[in-house]
Amino acid sequence: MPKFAYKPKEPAKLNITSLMDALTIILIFLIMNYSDVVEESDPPDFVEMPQVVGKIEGEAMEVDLPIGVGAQKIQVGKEQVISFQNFKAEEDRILGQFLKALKVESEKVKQKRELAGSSDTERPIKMAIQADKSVPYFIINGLVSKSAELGINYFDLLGLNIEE
Amino acid sequence: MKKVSKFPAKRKPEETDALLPFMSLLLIIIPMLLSNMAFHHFLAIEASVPGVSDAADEPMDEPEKKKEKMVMARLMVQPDYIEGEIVDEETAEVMEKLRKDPSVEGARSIFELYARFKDEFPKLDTVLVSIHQDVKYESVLQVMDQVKKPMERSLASANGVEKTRFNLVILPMALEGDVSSGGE
Repeated sequence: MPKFAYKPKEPAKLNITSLMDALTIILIFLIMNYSDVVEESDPPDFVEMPQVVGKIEGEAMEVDLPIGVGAQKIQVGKEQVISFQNFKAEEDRILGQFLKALKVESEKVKQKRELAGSSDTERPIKMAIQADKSVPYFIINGLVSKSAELGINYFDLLGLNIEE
Repeated sequence: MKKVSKFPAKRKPEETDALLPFMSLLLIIIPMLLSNMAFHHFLAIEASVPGVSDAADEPMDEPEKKKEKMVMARLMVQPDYIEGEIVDEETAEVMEKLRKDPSVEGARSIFELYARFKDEFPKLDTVLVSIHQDVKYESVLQVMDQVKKPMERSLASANGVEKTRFNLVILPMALEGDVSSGGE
């Protein structure tokens, strides 16, 4: 028999054990960080939200109108940004622009609800305030008071949650 | 010439075949989970401002009907202290007052004061909050979180426990004087 006789090659086998291990870990990680709140949006870049230690209780949060409040910027919805240097000195201009932007964004929320045909069209629109931790309360007070002119009386004060 | 069989030999099932349905499932689940992944978990403290129409919508009580004694819970958040009060709605008399540091522990003590009065006055479910203009958002959130947090309390009248949770009504600063006038 010749020394280097032709031997039929065995079909190559793919070992997927390690791939399955990696996928299982990824799956666990993703399930841990899953959020059923579709509208949960990241705060704007200029906002460093305060952290609150504790366990979240209650039902899932629904964000209608996110309002980002920084020391020199206010973001209404996801696009409209109002910049300022001194809130107290420019209060009328800022709140005027805020009211305009809020009107536009609240109309968008109403249209979105109507298109979705959801039963919660009667539910009052709620603002979700994502403010920087160092922002003084008078800025938030100005925004909340102004939003009441549009009949928006309900709001959520948001913080970053850290579980104990 | 090699004879070709009419019935080809059955392929021997490979080990990976059993995993194919699971792999397909993962292919669907992973993109779905990725799209719903939350990098931030928010804590939301629900609050409201007093509505103009609220009082008008309430039906007027019949005059001959004996009115139940009502109390009101108030919270003042100042830069250097927080103060909780229980006020008689009819006489505006301050029934109890507690002043604490603006810390988590301080806010918890004030919440316990409200919870104690809730045993006596079950209709007490709202805290009127007035916040000083210079208080930082971080302090506001920490205090509110403690007051808003549901706390299990034993019920004197019924067996078992109930979770106490208060509604927060934040008074705009223009109205702040109305609230603080009784307490100061």
